[in-house]
Amino acid sequence: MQITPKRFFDFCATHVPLLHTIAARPGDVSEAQVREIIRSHSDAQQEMPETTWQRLIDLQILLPLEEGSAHYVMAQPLLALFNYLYNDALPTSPEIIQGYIAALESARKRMMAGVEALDPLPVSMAANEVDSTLRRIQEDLEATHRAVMSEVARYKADRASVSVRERYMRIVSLMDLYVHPLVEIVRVDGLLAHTLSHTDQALSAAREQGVFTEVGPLERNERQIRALRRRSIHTLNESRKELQPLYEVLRRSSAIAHGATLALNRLRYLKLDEWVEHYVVQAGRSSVECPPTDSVLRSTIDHVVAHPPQPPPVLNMEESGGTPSDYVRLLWLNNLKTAIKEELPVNDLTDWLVKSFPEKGTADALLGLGRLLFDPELDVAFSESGKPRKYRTRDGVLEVTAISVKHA
Amino acid sequence: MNNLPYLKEIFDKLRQGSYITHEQGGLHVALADKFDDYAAYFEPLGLNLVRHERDFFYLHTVTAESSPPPASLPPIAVFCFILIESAANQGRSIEEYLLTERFSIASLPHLNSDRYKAHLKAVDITDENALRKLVKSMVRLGWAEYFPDDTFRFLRPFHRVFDKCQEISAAAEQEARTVLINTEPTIDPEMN
Repeated sequence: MQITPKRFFDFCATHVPLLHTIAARPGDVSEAQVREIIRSHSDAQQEMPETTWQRLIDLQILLPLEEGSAHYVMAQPLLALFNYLYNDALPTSPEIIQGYIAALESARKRMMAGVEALDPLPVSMAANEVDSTLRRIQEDLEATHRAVMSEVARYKADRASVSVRERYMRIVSLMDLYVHPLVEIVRVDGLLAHTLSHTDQALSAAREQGVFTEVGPLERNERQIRALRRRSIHTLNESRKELQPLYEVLRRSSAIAHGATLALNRLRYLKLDEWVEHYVVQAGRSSVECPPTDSVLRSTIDHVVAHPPQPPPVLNMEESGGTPSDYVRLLWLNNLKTAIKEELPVNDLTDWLVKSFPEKGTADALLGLGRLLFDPELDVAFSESGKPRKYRTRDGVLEVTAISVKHA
Repeated sequence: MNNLPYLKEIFDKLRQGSYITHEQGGLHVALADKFDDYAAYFEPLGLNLVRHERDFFYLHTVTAESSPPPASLPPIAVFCFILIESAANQGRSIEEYLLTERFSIASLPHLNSDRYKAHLKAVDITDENALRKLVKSMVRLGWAEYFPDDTFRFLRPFHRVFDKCQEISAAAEQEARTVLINTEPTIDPEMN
């Protein structure tokens, strides 16, 4: 029976939900399944189910898998139309790209042969083939973009109880499926880019040598190649923009889940102390109650050595016969090492200092202590007990842990 | 430098091991504004002020690392890992779920599975009351907030647990890679 477009589209327009349900079913459908779908969608007062079934067959919307089979598939053009209308498209696979590369390469060779033989017929045929291949690539790019958007939307809406690890693996496979073939198209050193450049050169050669009198199709092909490159980059960027955030979030979630599971599993094999050392967050709750460490002591001693801050020197304009006090202090400091060396080893440096020089004040005592502590020729050590003791100076008290001194 | 605002309050809070988060209002604002100045002030005392990337502050001391952790920490760690694993198995977005939901003690997954019970038993947690005590320990740590209706929610410093999990995962992957590299067959010159 002759199918008129009007009859076909009228039927489709009044049976959209039915057709969409059939289109959404993967693989083929049996006659019984189709009849069941018709019953669930049709209004018997408008049209009998049997009539609907008959029209599906007459209009060749459903085609038998093989002659006499009770299993049917939806006609490919209508399926493609539904996929287009519902943004349900298949992404471009690397294999499809390989096919395009082979088709373009073959057309290019025939075009070059035509140019060399000055024969316009193979040039014309090859130009048409290039045109058709470029259109298909363009359509596939758009399909990939639609597929990414619908997959991401489906993914976000899917609240099914699927583990984080599984969701992560799914998003990784989506990246492989959708984004990587696009990268292959866009890559400047990729095979497709190479083929497109060669095809472009062949088209230019055909145009410049005037083999093919109709310049329009050749120019159109050249324009298409340029547009295709722009479009591929755009599609790649858009697809990445959709998928990348999902990928990042799930990668982090997956690592967190993986870490937690690992930690729990190791609890069965390790001693608790060992497990705590490796798998427990060292919480900052530990109050600062422990004795300070070497690094803290060192920085504190540095501060002590620098104490008290030296006032700016005051220039004494009147000459006096007395020795300046700073000079006296300097001499004393310089002689300290000689003085202590005669009495080494000394078990308590501070005690020795305040008893040997009772006339010195706290500031001088600290200066002396600092000088001896950092002398490279002396071996200085803090007492292991770590308990501080108090030492009287002329004008105050020093509280210091016992320090022993011996020859370095 | 002594003119830093809230210096005493901030020091008192931090030295007790607490975290300063947005919940502390003025203290958090002061720290956020002059973080470098506060860090420089505490540094000579051997106190390392840390600003977490999720915008909360705590003290990290060398002594805190080397001294034994509080006894409540191992059970808390097991508790958290179980909750994370359970959320992941349900396909939930872990961070969003754990940091936005309010959890009821009675509906926690910890005592619903033999495996989880075995993990908890290893750290002496066997019933709901012990779980409740654990949650209250987490409140003291500043990781959680407990409500009178026997529910609780996690606070921002809980991110440190997530960080730890990621660290464990990364270390395990690194370990796996090292094993793979080491299993590469080597060429024995004697064989030729």
